[in-house]
This record gives sequence, C-alpha cells and structure tokens, in this order.
Amino acid sequence: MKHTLRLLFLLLFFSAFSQEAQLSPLTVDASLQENADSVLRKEILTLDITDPRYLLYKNYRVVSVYNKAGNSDVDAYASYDDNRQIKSIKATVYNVLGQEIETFKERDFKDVSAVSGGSLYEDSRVLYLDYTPTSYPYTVVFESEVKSKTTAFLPGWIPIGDYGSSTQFSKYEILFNPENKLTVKESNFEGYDIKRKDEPGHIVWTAENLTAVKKEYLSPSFKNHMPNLKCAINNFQLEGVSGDANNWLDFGKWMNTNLLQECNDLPQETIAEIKSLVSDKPDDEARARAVYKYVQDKVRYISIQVGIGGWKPMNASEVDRLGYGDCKALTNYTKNLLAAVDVPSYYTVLYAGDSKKSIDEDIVAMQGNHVILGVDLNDDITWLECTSQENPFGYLGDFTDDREVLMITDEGGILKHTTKYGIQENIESLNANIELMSDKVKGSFSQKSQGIFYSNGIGLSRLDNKDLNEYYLNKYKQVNSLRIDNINLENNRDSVVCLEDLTFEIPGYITDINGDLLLKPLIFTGGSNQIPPRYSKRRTSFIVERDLNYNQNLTYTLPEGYVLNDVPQPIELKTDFGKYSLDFSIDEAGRISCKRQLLVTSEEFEAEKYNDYRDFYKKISRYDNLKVLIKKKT
Amino acid sequence: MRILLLFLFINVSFIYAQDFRFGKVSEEELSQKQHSLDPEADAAILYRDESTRFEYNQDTGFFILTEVFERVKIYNSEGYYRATKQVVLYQGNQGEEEVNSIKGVTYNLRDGNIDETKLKKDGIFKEERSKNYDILKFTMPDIQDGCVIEYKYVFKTPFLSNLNEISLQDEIPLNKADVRFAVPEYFGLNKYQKGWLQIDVKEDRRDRSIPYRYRQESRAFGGGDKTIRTKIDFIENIYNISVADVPAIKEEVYSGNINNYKSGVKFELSYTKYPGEPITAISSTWEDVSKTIYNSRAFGQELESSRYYDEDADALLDGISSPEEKIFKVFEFVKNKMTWNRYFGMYTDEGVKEAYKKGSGNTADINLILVSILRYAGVEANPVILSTKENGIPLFPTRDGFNYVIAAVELDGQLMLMDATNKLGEVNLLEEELLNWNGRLIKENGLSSWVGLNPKKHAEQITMLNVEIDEAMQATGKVQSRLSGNKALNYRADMGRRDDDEKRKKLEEMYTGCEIYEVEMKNMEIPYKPVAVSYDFESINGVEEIDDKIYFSPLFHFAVVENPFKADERQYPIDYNYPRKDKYIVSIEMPEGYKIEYIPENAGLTLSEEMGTFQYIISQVGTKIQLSMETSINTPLIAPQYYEDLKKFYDLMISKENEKIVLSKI
Repeated sequence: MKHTLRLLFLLLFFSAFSQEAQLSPLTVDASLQENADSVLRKEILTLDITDPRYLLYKNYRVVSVYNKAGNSDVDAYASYDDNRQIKSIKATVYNVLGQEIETFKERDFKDVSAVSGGSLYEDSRVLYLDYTPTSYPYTVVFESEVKSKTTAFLPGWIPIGDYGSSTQFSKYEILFNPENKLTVKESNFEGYDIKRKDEPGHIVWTAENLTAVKKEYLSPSFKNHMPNLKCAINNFQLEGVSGDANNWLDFGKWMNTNLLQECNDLPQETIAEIKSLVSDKPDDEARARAVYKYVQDKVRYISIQVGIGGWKPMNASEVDRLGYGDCKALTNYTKNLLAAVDVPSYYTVLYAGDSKKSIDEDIVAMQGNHVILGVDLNDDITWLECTSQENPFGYLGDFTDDREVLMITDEGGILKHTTKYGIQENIESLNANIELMSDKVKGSFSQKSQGIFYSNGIGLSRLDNKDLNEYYLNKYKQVNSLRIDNINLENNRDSVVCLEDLTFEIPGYITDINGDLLLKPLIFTGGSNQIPPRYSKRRTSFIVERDLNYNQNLTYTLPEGYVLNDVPQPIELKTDFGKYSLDFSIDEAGRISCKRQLLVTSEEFEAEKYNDYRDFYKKISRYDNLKVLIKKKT
Repeated sequence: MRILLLFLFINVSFIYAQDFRFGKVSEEELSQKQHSLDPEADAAILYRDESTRFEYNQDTGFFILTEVFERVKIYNSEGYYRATKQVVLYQGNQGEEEVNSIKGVTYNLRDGNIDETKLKKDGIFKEERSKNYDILKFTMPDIQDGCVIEYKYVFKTPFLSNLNEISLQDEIPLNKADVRFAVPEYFGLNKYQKGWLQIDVKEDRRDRSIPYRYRQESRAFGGGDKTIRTKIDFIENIYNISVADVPAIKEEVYSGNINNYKSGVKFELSYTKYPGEPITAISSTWEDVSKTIYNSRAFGQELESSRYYDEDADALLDGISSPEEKIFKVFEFVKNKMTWNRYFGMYTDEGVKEAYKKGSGNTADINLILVSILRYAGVEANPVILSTKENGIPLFPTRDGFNYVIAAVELDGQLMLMDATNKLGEVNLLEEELLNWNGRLIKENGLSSWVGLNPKKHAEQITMLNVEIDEAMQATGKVQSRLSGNKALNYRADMGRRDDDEKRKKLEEMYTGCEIYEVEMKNMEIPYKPVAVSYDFESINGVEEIDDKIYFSPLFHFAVVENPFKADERQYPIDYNYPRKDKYIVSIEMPEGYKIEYIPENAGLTLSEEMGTFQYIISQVGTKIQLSMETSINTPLIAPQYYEDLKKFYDLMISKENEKIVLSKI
C-alpha cells in the first residue's frame, strides 16, 4: 500500500513536472534561441470550411518570450465585427519554470475599436491581451475560435512568425468539402522541415524547428522569403455574398456584379456637367485628363470602412454629394465620370507600398489593399491614382509602380502590370554655379527631379517657406552655417518634372591654410549616412528596388590670383550595384567644373555580396569627401 | 468735408462688418485667397463661439452644457484636416459625456453664387474606443480650396470638477473668439490664464431660475399626493472673454511641450455652496489641490496598510539601522519586485495590494508602494505629484494638471527623489520625461510644497581618444568613454536592449565615418556606476592626403557637424532638461617623417551668464598632438532672448571642432 502510494505520488509529480517542462522557456533547444526574442513553441491553426458559408478558425499558440522585444510576438488577440464572431478566447501565462501565473478569460481581454491610423472610421473591433510581463522569460498559451461569414480569402500560414522569432512546432490544418475545389500554393518550403498529409477534404501541414532571422538593412519583405502557404476555395462567401473563383476572369466578373455594379449611380446633373466640360476636347486622352482634373479639384481622401464597405465602394452619387471617399470610392467615382464621357476605364485592385508586392496569380481570391483606376487609352492602360489631389495624370510613384495588379473589366478580371520607372526616367540632376571666396562659398543651384524622384517634389510644394528652408538645412545637415535663400519651386505636371532653384551661402566653408584654400568641392553629397551599416555576418539577401540616376554638375569660379594646380584624376567605379564617376576639368577662364554621376542598379543580391556593396559606397563616400587645395599664385 | 468723412466711415465699417451668426457666411470670406496677417496659413478660424452653462436634472443633479460654434476658412488642401473634428467623450461612474445637436454646412463660391452643402448623418461617426471613452468624429462634405465651413454642437458633461481648458490659440490663426462661461452662485470658480495673450475677462451677473418639482402629501382625506411645480431662483455669474487676431502657434526644436505656451483660459470649481448647506471647498490653491489628491481613496489611503508587504519588508530590513541603507534597500527592492505596465497615473489603478501581488502596476501603484514601505522602514518618505513633459507644465492649481507620482525622502536636509517604475533608475536620477520644472511634495498632514525636479549635477560624458596615423594614412585608435547621470540613463535604455553586433552597428550609426571593433560596455545594468564604453576604431575618411600633405580633424568622428538650431528666430525657451558636460582628451601619434605645418589655435567661448562654455586646448608634445576639449551647458532652460547667441555658440563650436591639422613631410 505504502509502495503504491509512493508510486502514485511519483507519477503525479512526474506528469506535473512534464507539463511544466513543456511550458518552461528553459527547455527550448539552444539553436532556436539564437537571434530570437521569442520562440513559437507550438501553434495549431485549424480552418474549417466544410460549410462554405462560414469559416471556423481556431488558433492555439504557445509563445515563450525571452526579452522585451519579443513581447510583440505573443499575438494574443482576435478581431471581430458584425460578420465575425469570437466564439471563445482565453490565455494563460506561465513563468520561467512553467508554473501558471495568471489566467485571462474573455472578459479580461481589452476590447477596443480597430480603427487604424489612416482611417476616420471602421466598424471592426479587437479583443487583445493586455499583460505586463514581470520577468523574462515567460510563456503565454493563447486560444481563440472565430466564426466568420467570409471565405473569399483565408488566413494563410507562415510557420515562422517574424524577424527575431523562431518556431519549434507549427501545424496548419484545413477541413473542406472535396466538392468545393481547394487551391493551395506553397512557396519557399525548400530547406525547411515541413511535412504535408493529404486526405479527402482534409490537409495538414506541419513544420518543425525553424530558426529565427534578424531583419537587416535592405532585407527583402519577410513574406517573400519565408515558407509561406496560401489557400483559396472555389465557391466562397464574402460577408454573406457567395461567388465562384474558377479563374480570374470569373472572379472579376463576380466582383463587378456584386461589389461594383450597383455603385454606378452618378446623378444626371453631374453626367450633364461632365459632358459639357469635355465637349470641346479632341480625343479620349484630353477627355480623361479633364475628368481627372475635375476629380482632383473636387474630392479629398477620407477612409471609412463599414461592413461590406470594407470591400465595396461607396456609391458614386454619395461621393458626388460628399466630396470625399476612400480609394475604392474615389476610383469608382472617377470610373463613372469617365464612362459618362465614353472613355472606358477599369477598377484595379493591388498591393500598395514602397516595397513592391504583386497580386498572386495562382490564388484566385480576394487580395490587395488598395485600388487605382486603369484607363483604356490608345490600346494601352494609363494608371490613375484617384486618392491624390496632386499627382499628374498617369503618374504612379513608388507606392504602386511596377507590380502585378487585378483589373476588373465587364468581361471579368485581368492581371496587368503597372508602370515601371527605369534608369531613363529616374533622374535627379543638380547644377550649381558657385563663387569661391577666401573664407566662404556662395552660389545658386537648380535641381531637376523626374520619374520616381518626382514624388519628392510633390511633397515639397506643400511646405511653407519656413519649413522649406528647414527642409534644405536638414537635407544638407553636414554643411555647417548653410544659408538658403530665394527658393523657387516649379512643378510641371504635364511633363512630370519638378524643378528646385535656390541660392546659398556658406560662411566658413573654406579653410585657409597658410594662404592656400582647402575646398571640399562636392558640397551637397558626402552626408553622414551614405555608407550602409556593417554586419559581422550578413545573413539575409538584400534588395535594391529601383534603378536610379543621380547627376551633379558643379562649376566653381575662383577668386583673382588663385589657381588649382593639381586637378584630381578622373574616377570611375563599375560594379554590379551600379556605376560611379567623378570628373574634374578646368576651362579657359580658370573655372573648375566637377561632374559626378551615380547610377544605381536594381536587383536582389545574395547575402555574400553585401560586403562588396558596402565597399562600393565606402569608396563613394571617400570620393564624395575629396578635397582640393586651391593655391595662391606666386 | 464732414459728409465725406461720414462716407468714409460708412464705407470702412461696411467692409469690416462681419456677421457671425450661423449661416451668414459672406461672399468676401469665401473669395479670400489668403489670410491677411498670415499669408502662409493653410486654414484659419474666422470665428469661434463657446458658451458654457450649468443645468440641473432632478434625478442626476447638475451637469454642464457647452455650445460650440466655429466658422473655419480653408485656404488649401493642407488645411483640409480642419474639416474633420474629433471630440473625446469620457465615461465614468458619474455618467458619460455626450455631443448632441450637431449641425454643419460647407460653403463654396461657385460662379458667383454661394453653394451650401449640409453635413448629414453619414458624415458623423462614434468610435467606441475603449470602456473608458468614445470618440465622436464628423467630417464636412464638399471641401474645396477656399471653402468656409461652419459647425456647431452641444457638449454635455456630468463631470463638474473636470472642466476642459478653453483654448484661445491654435495651430492656425484665430480671427475672433467669444467665450461665455456662466455658473450658478452655488459654485465658486477659479480662473487661470496661460500664454502671452492679453486676456480680459468681463464679469457680469443675472437672475436665473430652474424649474423644480416635488410631491406633497395631501392632508385632506382622500386627497392623495400631488406634484407641486415651482422654481428655484438664483444668481448666475457670467464671465465673458473676447479675443481677436491671435496668431498661429508654431513648433520649435528643443522647446518641450508647445502646449505650455499656447494661450488659453481654464476654469475650475473651487467650492460648492448649495442652499442651506455649508461651503464645501474643492480646490482653489496648490495647498487645496494637494490635500484633495492626498485624501483620495486611490492615493493617501493606499499608503496606510502595510499588511500586504510587512513580512517581505521585515526580512529585507532585518538588522539594518542606517537610514541611507534602508532607503537604498527598499528602493532596489521595489524596483526589482514591480514592473511598470506602461500606464501613467497619479492614482492607483488596481490598488497597491493587488499590484504588489501581481508584481505589476501603474506609476501610482508602484511609487505609492515605495513610499509606504519607506515609511514602514521608519524613513520620512512622501509622495511627489508631478506632470510629465507630455502632459505639460501644471500652470494652475488643478487636479488634472498632474499625472504622475514619485517618492521623496528628506535626509539631512537633502531631498532624494525616486521613481521605482524605471528598473535602471537611481536616487535623484529621473527620466527626462519627468524633468518638468517642479513637483508637489505632499506630507501626511496634507501640507505640501514645491520641489525642483531638474538635476543640479551635470550629466557627463568623458572620452579618451588615442589615435595613430600609419604610413598608409590610415587612422586607427582606441576610445574609452564614461557616462553619468541622465546621459548614462539614456545610454542604458538605448543600448541595453541590443546584442553585441547591434551595439557596434548603433555606434557606427552614431559616429559615422568609422568602423568599430571590440566594443565593450560595462555597468549597463548597474545603476549608480558610470557606464563605461570602450572600443577600437578605424577611420574611413578621417585622414586626407593632398599634395604630400596630411589633413585631419583631431576629433575624427566625434566632431559635431550639425547645428540643431537652424531657424533665424525663436519664440520659446530652449529646454535641455538637465545640465550637461562633454569632455574629450585626445592624443594623436603623428606618422614618422612628418611635422606640423598648421595647428588650430586654442579657443574658449562663453555664453552669456555662463549658461554654456566651450574650451579647446591643443598642443604638440614630442611626436604627439594632444587636445583637451570641453563643452558644457550649465542652465537646463535658456530663455529665447539668448537664442541668437546660442546659435552662434554652436556655429563657432562646430567650425572649431571640424578645423583641420595639417602635417607635411620633414
């Protein structure tokens, strides 16, 4: 008897111990802790779409957090609104030994509205865990179950959380009706321990021991490089509206019928007004330009996301009356105005952001986070950003350039590619005439921005004089005592060129050394953050997104009785990352001319090339800071 | 002549007569292209009318109604944000705030006609932000460059003791504002003003009555109860304020919280005196405010119990008799035991007991535990309430002027300030966010007094730099720095969370133009000791060779290159938060075969009244060049009249620091 009791006690102790051991952050393999602020110990995501009207989404996750930076990896929250219901939510926090510290029931979660920064109003809300860790490491076990009326897009799977987090075990399980075709797309699975098990109407993926990566300078978007799974079903629902996703054509047709068509209700008076406005315009392009200008003058961007309005534009008649709307509303409004003057145009969905992201062709489902308008002109598409009151006609900028987008036509959805700005377009050129004096320099410069650089120019035109002055002083902050005057901006919207003219004076810029003058000719380059950061060991590849062309041409007039004897040798650097050249010459009048050009090549480079990349810029920094000694004639 | 004058007068008054009634927007206002006094303004408040009165509800008591009316001119798209208005609505035990009767119209001039577009329901939103507050938002329709918008609404609040500040200055010009504040004789008021604007308050009074009903039992047989309707007469005190042509307030670097300088008026209840009842003082002086706070359940009472920690405290203090040692022990104990949940407050949130049990709490939970244990240990400890920089300087004696509490001990005439929410904090070393002029120390008997929060001692960084220049004109060297005070605190907070490689990277970011190796940082988690940093460096562009001569700045990557003060003028004081001192001791070994051709001159600079000093002493000692340089700012707050001097001081300092030494071949 005594014996059994002891055994029982031992057993109890042991099982309790093992439960705690599972939850203790101390039991995690060292390789997973390297570079990691947190470790996802266990994750089980279950999607049940056997009834295509609903998505039942269960999320079970155990996260061990090792330091403050890892707190954001706990991700213990669930969103809800009229079409998404939180069935259950709870969390438990464990200490370093795996002993329970605190439990949170549904009512212990903070309930707040999910209005994001740029929005005026959204009707979605979020329940989140507001826990203050009192010591590290600790572990959180979180469970939630959400029932949603939307299956038009399904939560995907990225088994490794984010930069700085590693994963011990993650499972993604999807239950579906085999008659409702499921499309899956696996990306970047190679080299990871990921298993897949297929049964009719049931697929399970599991991943184990994925080590953390740190974010580095110019790292490509996380999702593009990590294992990534996307799913979509053929017969889907969007907040109660059903549809079929056989292909993009059908999907587009569905969007057109269910989300767009009934928003085409432009009032007759406005139609008459716009018709008379373009009556004297010779062709479609002139008409489209007039309509775009009309929209830019009339509306402003305000984001309001309510119910299915998160997917469906506000009616054209409402935008007409209110004079505002979000990207969907303003795009649809412009489309309607163009239709009124018989210029065909298409509502176009895409992912916006300065790091380029395309609509995934293989997954026919709701994608994207932004909408622009494609105007059919001369058998080509001209893209219009309808949320901007300043963009020139057809100008996109780095927010939407060069990516795959989904264009919705009456016939259905078509994938297209937006404008790519290349080395021929992306030019920033600076010309300066500078007078060199014994202790200072003064002169004027003129800068021309084109292509992707043009958008900087748009930003400048918004600043008042004082802020503009400060903008230049900050841009050239390495130049002490810089004074800027006579700033003149010219924004040529027709040719999409921005011009900046100004005069400057820099007292103390010249150092007098025993009567000779020491000058750093490239006044406007050689700033402090030119050299990319150094890594002891670079791990991730790096991406340069756009081809760029920087040009500078500075001309110096020397004071009477001074001469530059030793003209620096021309410099030329050619690398995979771009080209750099620096040329000095002296004309008959004794003026020094200094020409600098930097051509940047866009590409994704392997991590091993990073040191060469950095060396390239180190050299450039050295040449940009080059000095010359102007001698007094003897 | 007389007639002509009259004519002129009529003409002038015709041009300037503006009708400020809702809906009476003039063509002239609409056709205006820019503000007459501030041509760069993106928008302007043409008129603001704010009228506040007290009303009475027999079930819930007094409440306050404020009618707000604004007419705003929008000149260009940068001013469009003014077309959206947000009002925060609090909810509490006493009820919740509301906004009602919203009415808005946008006016545009089209083909010479005034076109009106009304704000409708679809432009009004209420966001339920959290259980404590909602945000009411509305956005005006049909906004075009040059349009004028008008809106009005009624704000209702049951929180009598928490009146909003009436702002009389904005980020855009304010042409004219009328404010009326009416309060029944039952309420005593304090009025406070801030900003440079001359504000005249005109007082007035009138008779007013509110309806009142009560039930009376009928004495007559079979009569039953009946409701008697009557009214209560009282005197209403009225305060009127009018301002005109108030310029926009603009941000400046190093100015702290700009709201401190924004003109405005604040009313606060000082006492209530209901008919037939004695006066109840609420707060009218700093003394009263402090006492009221101390007597709150979530403040003073929280200091009373020791039962929840006494065992821990007894163990901690066992055998210790020196008060100093007790203070440090208790401070360290609370710092380690408690973790701040990032919530501010001068009142406890969950209460000290619960917080102690959980090991986390808001600022009041933690620092009141600290005060309580210190008292338990027999030390004379008291709470100090203060306002964070973000919250602004408490200019008037109001309770909501404060939002933070720390602990203070007076020992041998010296005040020791402590904030246990910061794990890296020290006695008399508070985070910059807390260094906001004065705090109010409140004693157990309710007596209170001001204590200065800004440190008196300089925060120092002393750096030794040993450099060698080799034959390949490569400068390499060793750096050793020691940091103290707030400089150390900032460094710990910033560097502490980085791993070795990130620390190195951060240093390379801070000191551009060099590559850094062998970084060592000591005492990063040991308060009271100076942070000690050492590393090796290799300069990238530090040394240049032109015509067989070598040029370099003796400070290499430490030379300051950017003047923080760029604007030509300055309106607000320059706030450094704490006195500071930077010292460099540099030793440079010259390459063999070279001699000094040019060496910068020694220099010294002093800012008026020794507010700042700079010293640069350089010399040759054998094959070495030695430099000693010291910069110090001795006054944490510098008045704007010294701005030009200060800017010049930086200019001279920067050019001195960047001056080059020239070496030539022997």
